[in-house]
Amino acid sequence: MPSDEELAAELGRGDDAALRALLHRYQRPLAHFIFRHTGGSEVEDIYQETWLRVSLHAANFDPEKRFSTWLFQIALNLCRDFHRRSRSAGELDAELRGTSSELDRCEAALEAGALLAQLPEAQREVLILRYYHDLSEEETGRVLDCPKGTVKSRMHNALARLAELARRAKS
Amino acid sequence: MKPGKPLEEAVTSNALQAHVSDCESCRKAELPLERLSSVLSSSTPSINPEAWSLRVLVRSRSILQERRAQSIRRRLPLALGISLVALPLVITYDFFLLERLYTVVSGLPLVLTFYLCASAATVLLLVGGAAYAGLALVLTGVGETLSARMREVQV
Repeated sequence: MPSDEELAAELGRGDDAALRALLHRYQRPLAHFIFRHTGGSEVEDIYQETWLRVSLHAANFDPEKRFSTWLFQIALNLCRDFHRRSRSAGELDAELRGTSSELDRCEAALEAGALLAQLPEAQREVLILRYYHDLSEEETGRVLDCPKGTVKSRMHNALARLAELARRAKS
Repeated sequence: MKPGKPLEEAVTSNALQAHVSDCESCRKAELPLERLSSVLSSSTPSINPEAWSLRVLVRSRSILQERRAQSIRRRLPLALGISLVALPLVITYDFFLLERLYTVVSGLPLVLTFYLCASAATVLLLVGGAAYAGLALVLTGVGETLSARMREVQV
């Protein structure tokens, strides 16, 4: 069974069977990652754009690196673009503050998507990659292009914030 | 992440446990890990990426065709170059074979000798041409494309 990196190299030569195999391996993790990052908006568009970019740039892919890291970096950049496009940071904060009080009142809102949306983007990215995608701290750091220590501290802050939110929602 | 591993299987509290065991601040804070884990695991997105993947395949068809053409264009000069390196040797060997044949059949009537030598030369030319065409095809990646088709059938 060829590795992801071998398939990526074949994709770079225009092999659609390689693309099919990579899609088969990564369609679910990637779609779920985008869904959780964007909160369910424009998931299909970002998903398709990610794979089109993979097809376009596979010839430039460095086979010494891990394909999954490269794939998630592309998706992450597109998700960040989406967030930048859809709203400015100030509007987002205002919106989150507004929904925060609603969440406190509503037990039904104690749901992963709503809780994730309460986290700052940097913490949310770390939590999604570490928790939902089982990436190690090193791999998460490579995807996010930051040191392992930063991943650790963001994870700590994310957990502390989540615990606080969950406690408030429960009470 | 392991390739092909369904996300649902990957969703575990291992990442949380691993972090807390490594992070003193989190240990001191006594985070409600089980609760956090159950909350985070509570929702699985109801999406259908299989259908999206089919659309990706359709949309990327033209990109991949262009890639294949580029790949062949890049390799063709190299393939022809490698083929031409061996050409003088092949031609010399063919002349050697024809000469041996002429030595054997030269005692026959002239027309028959000419017919046998011309036939042999034609066969050698065809075999040599086919071998060179095959070599060029393999070197330009057509062989890889065929093996990729085989893999596609297996998938």
